[in-house]
Amino acid sequence: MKNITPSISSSRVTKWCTLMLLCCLPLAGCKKLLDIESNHTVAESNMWNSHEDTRSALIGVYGLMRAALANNNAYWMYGELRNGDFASVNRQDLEAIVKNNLHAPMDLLKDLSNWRRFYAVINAANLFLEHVGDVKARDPKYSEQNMNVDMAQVRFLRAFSYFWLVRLWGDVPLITASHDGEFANKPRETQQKVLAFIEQELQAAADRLPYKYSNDDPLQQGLYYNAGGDKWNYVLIKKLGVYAVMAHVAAWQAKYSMVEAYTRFVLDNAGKVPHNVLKTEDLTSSDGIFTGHSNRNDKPIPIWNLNAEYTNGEASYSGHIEALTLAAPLVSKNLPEIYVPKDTVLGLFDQLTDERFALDSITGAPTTDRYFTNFNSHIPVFSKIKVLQDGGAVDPDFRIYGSAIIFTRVEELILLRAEALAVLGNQSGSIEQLNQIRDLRKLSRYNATLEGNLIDAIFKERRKELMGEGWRWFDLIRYHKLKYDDAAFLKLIREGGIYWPIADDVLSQNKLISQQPYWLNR
Amino acid sequence: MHFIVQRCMLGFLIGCAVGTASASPKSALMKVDVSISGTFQGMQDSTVKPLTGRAKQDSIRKANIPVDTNQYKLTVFRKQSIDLQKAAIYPFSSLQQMVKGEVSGLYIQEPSGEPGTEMGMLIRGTAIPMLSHKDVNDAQPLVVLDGIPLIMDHPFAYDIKQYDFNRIGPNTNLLAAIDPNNIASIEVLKDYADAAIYGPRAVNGGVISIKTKAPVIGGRKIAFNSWMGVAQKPHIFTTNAQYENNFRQPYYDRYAALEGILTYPMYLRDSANAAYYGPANWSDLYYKNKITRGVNASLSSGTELANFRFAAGNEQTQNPGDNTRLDRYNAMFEINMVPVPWLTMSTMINATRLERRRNRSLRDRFDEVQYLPDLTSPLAPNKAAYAAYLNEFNQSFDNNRVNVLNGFFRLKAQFSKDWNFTSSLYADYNEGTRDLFYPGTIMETVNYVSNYFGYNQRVGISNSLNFHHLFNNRHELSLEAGQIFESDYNRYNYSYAYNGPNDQIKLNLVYSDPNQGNYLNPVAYKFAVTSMFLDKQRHRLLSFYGRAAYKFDKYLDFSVLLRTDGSSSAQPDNWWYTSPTFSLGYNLKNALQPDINWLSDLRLHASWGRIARLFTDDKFGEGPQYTSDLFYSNNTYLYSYNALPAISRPYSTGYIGTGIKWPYSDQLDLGLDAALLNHRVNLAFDFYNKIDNNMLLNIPGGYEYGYTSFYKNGLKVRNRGIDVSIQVNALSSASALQWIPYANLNYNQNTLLALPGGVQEMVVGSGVNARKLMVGKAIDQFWLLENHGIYNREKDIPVDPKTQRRLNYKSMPISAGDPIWKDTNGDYSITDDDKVMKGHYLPTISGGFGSNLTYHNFTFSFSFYFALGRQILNQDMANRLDFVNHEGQISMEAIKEITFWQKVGDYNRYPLYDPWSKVVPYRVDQDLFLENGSYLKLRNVSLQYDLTKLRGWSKRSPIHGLTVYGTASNLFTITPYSGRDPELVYFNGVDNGYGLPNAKTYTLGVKMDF
Repeated sequence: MKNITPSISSSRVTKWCTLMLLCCLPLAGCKKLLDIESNHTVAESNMWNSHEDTRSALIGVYGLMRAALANNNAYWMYGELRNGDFASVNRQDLEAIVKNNLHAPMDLLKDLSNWRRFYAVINAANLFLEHVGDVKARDPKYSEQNMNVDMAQVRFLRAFSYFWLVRLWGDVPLITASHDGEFANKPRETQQKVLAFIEQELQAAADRLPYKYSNDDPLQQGLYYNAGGDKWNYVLIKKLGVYAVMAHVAAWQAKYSMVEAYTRFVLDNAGKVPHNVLKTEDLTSSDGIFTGHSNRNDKPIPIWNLNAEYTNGEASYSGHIEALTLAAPLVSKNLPEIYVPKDTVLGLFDQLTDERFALDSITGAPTTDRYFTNFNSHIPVFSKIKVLQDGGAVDPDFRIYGSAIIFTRVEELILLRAEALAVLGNQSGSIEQLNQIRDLRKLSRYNATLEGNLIDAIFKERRKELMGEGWRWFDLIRYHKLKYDDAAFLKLIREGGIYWPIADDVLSQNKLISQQPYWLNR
Repeated sequence: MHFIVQRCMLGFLIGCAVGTASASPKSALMKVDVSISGTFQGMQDSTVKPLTGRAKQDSIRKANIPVDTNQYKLTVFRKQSIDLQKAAIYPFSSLQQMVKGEVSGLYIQEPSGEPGTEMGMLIRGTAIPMLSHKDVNDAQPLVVLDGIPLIMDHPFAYDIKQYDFNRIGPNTNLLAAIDPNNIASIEVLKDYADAAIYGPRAVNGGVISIKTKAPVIGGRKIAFNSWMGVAQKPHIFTTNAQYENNFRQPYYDRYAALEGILTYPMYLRDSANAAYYGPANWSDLYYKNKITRGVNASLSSGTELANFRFAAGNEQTQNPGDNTRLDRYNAMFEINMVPVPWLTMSTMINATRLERRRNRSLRDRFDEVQYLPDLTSPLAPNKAAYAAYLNEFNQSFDNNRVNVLNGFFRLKAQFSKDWNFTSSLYADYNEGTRDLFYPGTIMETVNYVSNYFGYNQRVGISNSLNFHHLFNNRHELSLEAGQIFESDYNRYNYSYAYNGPNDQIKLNLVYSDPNQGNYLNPVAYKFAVTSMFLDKQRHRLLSFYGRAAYKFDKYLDFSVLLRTDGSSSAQPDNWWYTSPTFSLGYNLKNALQPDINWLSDLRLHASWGRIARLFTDDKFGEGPQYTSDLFYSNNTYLYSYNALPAISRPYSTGYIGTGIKWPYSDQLDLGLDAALLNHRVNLAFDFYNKIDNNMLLNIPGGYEYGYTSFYKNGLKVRNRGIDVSIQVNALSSASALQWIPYANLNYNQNTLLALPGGVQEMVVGSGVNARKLMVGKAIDQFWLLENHGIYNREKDIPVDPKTQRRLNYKSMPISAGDPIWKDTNGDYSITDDDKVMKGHYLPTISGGFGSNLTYHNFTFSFSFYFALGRQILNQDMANRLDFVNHEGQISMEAIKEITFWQKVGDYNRYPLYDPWSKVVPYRVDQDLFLENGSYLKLRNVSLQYDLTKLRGWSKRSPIHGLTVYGTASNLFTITPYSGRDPELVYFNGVDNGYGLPNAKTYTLGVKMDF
């Protein structure tokens, strides 16, 4: 064997040099080597620098609001199902909601009783309001006016989220700063205090928002974020939308004179957008108002809505009422999750000329399948809202839906105005508003002797016109507060049974919060 | 910057400072590993002999001496490595299968017999609660191939998934890429004295170190090994609608209200329907006997100055269930050269291709498609009906391919007898593609196409300077200083689309001209139903270390390792972490008892070490951050509103703040290695106390700030236990018959020592995966209601004497026909507060034992594998009993596979509850479904016959090794579990009824050396 261990030679110096070189190379740039940025998140330091960041953050707040209301179809769980006209076909969790057994041990109810998603909107809004000044300072392209309009939208969304919290849980923690990284537990504040905050914020937002975007409104001149009005007006909150929400905040507190004032302002100025009443066909056709961005003739604009448009790639399998209501023959699904029982339908739609739904006086068959399809089967399909894909050429086998969550449209506000006028004693004004809707849907005009109480008639009309639009439960609360004759419901109101229980998860994390008394011993 | 340079220099200086102190002309050539993997194990392995002349030569070319399979001695005691002679003859398709049951403290569970699917490995328990696939990923030990730390799939791909069943892409077990025929040794380094030098990646209990066979020197060797066999289809009892009907009848008779009868499932109603009520012979199409085979050939040749080894192999493993298969094609080339006497160059390239044929279960399909059709009518148990379905299914294609390429280039400079320097460049790259198309005929006319391409890449550079010297023949000193830089890159491109124009267009092509407006828009599929995802993870690890080892004479040894690591995923004010490791060994036999004859060897050793834990996602380095978080139920992929990108805090995945610190793991290891009766009895015993400190946990909370949870340091988990290995050469070496029984065993006790923020307990996960973590208890416990039978009469139901209210379950009154759940807190209301922590989903005791018998030309081996003290939550049974809540829904829970028509378990074990009750009597989260999941398995048996030992065999024959062999695997399982194979459960101890059986497999093979 040859000794391969080298004898000491001059080449050794070279060897050592090479070695040192190899070793030292990486030492030079330790910091450089380790300082790489994540590809899928944006660090705080890279976030609030330009007007693109504010746009993304603003859109984020809208998106979170949509997520809060679409998650588990919450919008309808909260607003439509409780004590409402719909019945569950086969699902115990939905039945529990319909029957107001909100404490039942089911995942859906557990999730719905957690208010986290509304607070995500609030936290995102708080962060925006805290950081928007940084962008203003750093980006000269970000104009004062642009900032004001952005802030007004964000303040609106925060208040809107609080309005949901108040309607669903009553007293809730009022958090108006991001408290980033601290997450101190906060106690609940009284509903009055939160509502006062909501009113103040909504008024501030209304004062700063334009009637329309990219339309040279004095409050928002030029193109908004370099895009035309078509991009924004169907989607973003506008001045009249804020007033419409303010009307509802007032109605929730039974401040009907303010409801009257706000609804009057909206309806008087509706032409500036324009917000128009809808023909029945535009209401119920699959490419109508519920697409959120309809391509129909006059392109109606809802007053305030949250979109999930198919053409934007935002259509989804859930988060739309269609996921609950549609079934064969409209989509390839045997039975819907929820339906309106026939008796309820027949009790409500009692006029033969009603364009929404009526039975033919001779054949006894439905004259239209606008509101209900397959009416002769045991379980009729509620088909008022049916935006499959883009609502155009419909492929019934792919259950992906693109409908918008419409919070309010002109008809809703007219009926709210009718309600306010009726409460305030202006019978004729109220009847005029009610008849406006009745004419629209081809019903006979209100007849006090035949139909009795005007309030009843107004709420009945709301029940029909807004079916499936997430209003029934909140209408019931207002109705019973006005009528004051249903002992069981009044007990519910008195004891806080109209609110949702607070999720166990929330209670176990925040010891300053205790369960709603009504749900405590159930 | 100054500070950082200081830190960078630290490891280097330690080595140098000690190094310069030593200069002695006398020295001995010692085995020094070329990689960082020198483990000083010479002092531990009681059977290591002094190096022979040839071995010394080899050690210069390559540190590890080639262990030729055919010269492998069964009598060698393998305390922490495995018998590779066996590994190469059994039809193993993955590393996990090779090491299963072979080394104490290494626990392997095969949740499915489907070839090439994921398999978890755990060394000495787990420090991470297993709540999702990500956690399983994070708990895996490091696997090192010839000094290359292998990169695995990154779990961040789970982020875009709605369901946590399969990773997107081919989801193939990357450790199935290693051909057993190329492996010289596999060692499991559990002691931090051995493992800490591998740095933070070794934090999960240690390292599995694989060394490939080295080329031969002087001459030429051709080796050939081939086997072929059959995987036998299992015997099962199939059922049809009649059976299901009979099973449900008692429930309807006793409890059904009109509503329940009206909603009786359609598929059970019509007894004239042959598809459901006809013969249940679907299994003829589902289970089939399958051929499984493997072949490998290698050529090795060379001289002392240059040598090489080339090997190529192919293996096809098939499972008898559901037409599943894995094909592996492997080629490996290794070359060593000594261009000048002081320099050795080595290169290795190992290339593998894996092609996997996946199962056809509905769950896995819908998991990928993320769209559920109407599930009212399940697949029918009749062969004709099932064949019709398969016929449509076969119009789909599903190509899962993985290419793995790893290799190194290494230079070793021997400056003098004492000094050498090693520098290596190494890379591990694996890429996976999955091209998938499902026709509309199997999903309500909605077809689906998806394409995945992803790769994981690790490139590393390491340098180390070594000094070794023996002073006065008594003081042996080794010093090493090293630096390593590794850069990881994980990336995937994934897109899918629904509802293409027809089933003929199976590709989702996009416009490819970047100058056009429609660039990257899909050609045939609609843009609105096409989703595309691109994501990547980057990670860099820069490390410096210094190690000093000293050995005094033959009895005392001592070593210190100091290592500092910088990770790009740590936060900038916290990039670096320095960790020490100490070890001490004392050979009692040599020191005190040289004259006792029965005691051949006895060495005591102790070590304490610390290993830092890396953050698995680069997002942790960013601190407070923004992402897109617009998701809501069933929409895991929404990033925009009004077609504009939206950015918000990561509300639904957890807040990441500043001040996140490195977690680390400390382990104390005390052990002894003994050899008795002239090395005929070998024993190794280790006690370990491993504490994982300061780990990050995603804690629920922050709801009023919009978050579901936030990340916080502070999880502290202890794993404490013993490892024992024993091997006995039962008969004297003179005897013609040799019997070598062996056994290994691990006992592990897991305890949660602390939760972040001083919290004492918390609930994690939801639904069937909900678990409670409580300080003082193990992290692998179930959290369940205690079931004590059934309330047969209303009057048996307790009433609260104070309020006169009847016992309720979460406010739903309990009535007759409901279960008796123990009201542990006595408040007359059964809630989650009444749940108790019971059982363990990981075994307390696991191990294996077996024997090797040789008699003349015959070698007979068998090995058993066992896991004790482990429980299973039988969700499969719960789902069958809770049929009311599993009908007519469009949800993953309502899926009925074809295996629904298979008899499992025993319905008579369960009380006849009212299945319509709103309390859901057959809910999974109760101990009614918790069963003992212990098992003992005869894993394999083999018989080998060595033809070269025949009397007439010419010594001059060119064939100097020829062995024929037969094996049998998975012959039987002994278990008290009432369900299927107790191994086929999900990682969290839940038996969800999935997982293909571990089939009985019989093979015949031959291996030859020329």
